[in-house]
Amino acid sequence: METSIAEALPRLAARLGGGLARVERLSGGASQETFLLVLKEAAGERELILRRRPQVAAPAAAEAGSGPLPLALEARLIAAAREAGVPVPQVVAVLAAADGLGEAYVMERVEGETLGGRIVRDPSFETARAGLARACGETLARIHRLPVERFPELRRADAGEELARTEELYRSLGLDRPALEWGFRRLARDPPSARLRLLHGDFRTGNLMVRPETGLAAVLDWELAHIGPAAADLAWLCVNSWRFGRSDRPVGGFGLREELLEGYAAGGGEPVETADLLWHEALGSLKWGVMCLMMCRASLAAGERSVERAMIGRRASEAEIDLLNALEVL
Amino acid sequence: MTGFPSADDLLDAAARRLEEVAAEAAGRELFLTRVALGALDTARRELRLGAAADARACEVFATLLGLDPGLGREALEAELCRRIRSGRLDAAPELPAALRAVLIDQVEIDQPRYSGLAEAKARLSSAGGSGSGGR
Repeated sequence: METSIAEALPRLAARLGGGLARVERLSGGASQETFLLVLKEAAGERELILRRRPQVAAPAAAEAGSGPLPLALEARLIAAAREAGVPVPQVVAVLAAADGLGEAYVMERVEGETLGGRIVRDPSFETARAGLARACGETLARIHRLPVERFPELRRADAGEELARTEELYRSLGLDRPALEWGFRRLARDPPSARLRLLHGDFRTGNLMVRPETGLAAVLDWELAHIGPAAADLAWLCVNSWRFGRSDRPVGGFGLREELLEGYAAGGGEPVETADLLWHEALGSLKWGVMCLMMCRASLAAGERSVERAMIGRRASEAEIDLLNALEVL
Repeated sequence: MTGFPSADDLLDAAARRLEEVAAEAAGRELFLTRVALGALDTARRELRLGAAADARACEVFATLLGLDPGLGREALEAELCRRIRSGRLDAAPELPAALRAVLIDQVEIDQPRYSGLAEAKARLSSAGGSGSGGR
């Protein structure tokens, strides 16, 4: 039985060494919530972020491969990344059942911009953009060097397996999308083989916190982390859907592939063939298309009447057109 | 006899109301209101362009499959998907252009300002208007 949040938060604040000055709910879905906690301490105010999942995930869902990443695992990943020199928020505490907040962890709040449109187009980010693709490459190299043995619970998938998994998800929808069918067929011809690494899994503009003066400030949203080929992370950053209108800058809407790969090599990353990068870019658009359809379908089936979720279904056609464009250069 | 005013007029009026709401909104409220406006715009484009897009898709897919366009879009797409899955169309040179032509029509409805649309159109025209995709 879980204590109400109103009781649990002041107790949490005290445990962290302060009084609870303010709470602000930043975002909330059906399964996950994010709060800003402002603590009053002797030295002043301290801003923390609380991520929580109200119920502990059912054991079946927590099985590697299905269901969301347990938050404790997410926290461990972020802490390990920080140790390895990846810019991430500092994890302050991983909570236990006795804290009365379900699955949860607390981290320091980091300042910076995450809105893709601004990062990609705002004049004040011109300097930051110049070095950003390279910085992303170096950062991904550090992430990919994290020891996979320390995280045996993470799902593993090589290129072919990820393609097959995506196809299974698509088939479960019972929709007829000729462009996606063509994508599955075409990509199944020659999935690249590579050593498997620890991947961020959603490394893209939108999940990167950037500051105008200092560039990449933090890598956020580790919930899709898994083990797979390095090219998967590098290519996901290049998927057209999140270039925020700057298609001429393939890397995140801010840089060139050469810069990304130079940074990756400079950071100690293994050599990556451009052909493999392009294959994974095509898979990225294919996956995104399927994800759009899945999110929409789930929302409709649940009777949510969410305009946001309904509209995301219509973004599948963008992903399909990107997929066709990407397949053309394979 | 069609309704008066038209469905488009009704949607336009609803959009106007949402624009007024948007003018006073901020943060998440503003975001969701804009999404709702986008939904209305998309529905209006579909009303305006949908029938022609469906007819073109039927023509394009029917030609590719050697079937009657009168079978309708749903049936033709289902058959196209079956044939792609079977591998029969693996070496069909006209398949990518056909898919592209139909997707261009779809993205014109869903997100006409999408950057990938311009690229797709450029590829389609550089293909020289050959086969079923070139128009």
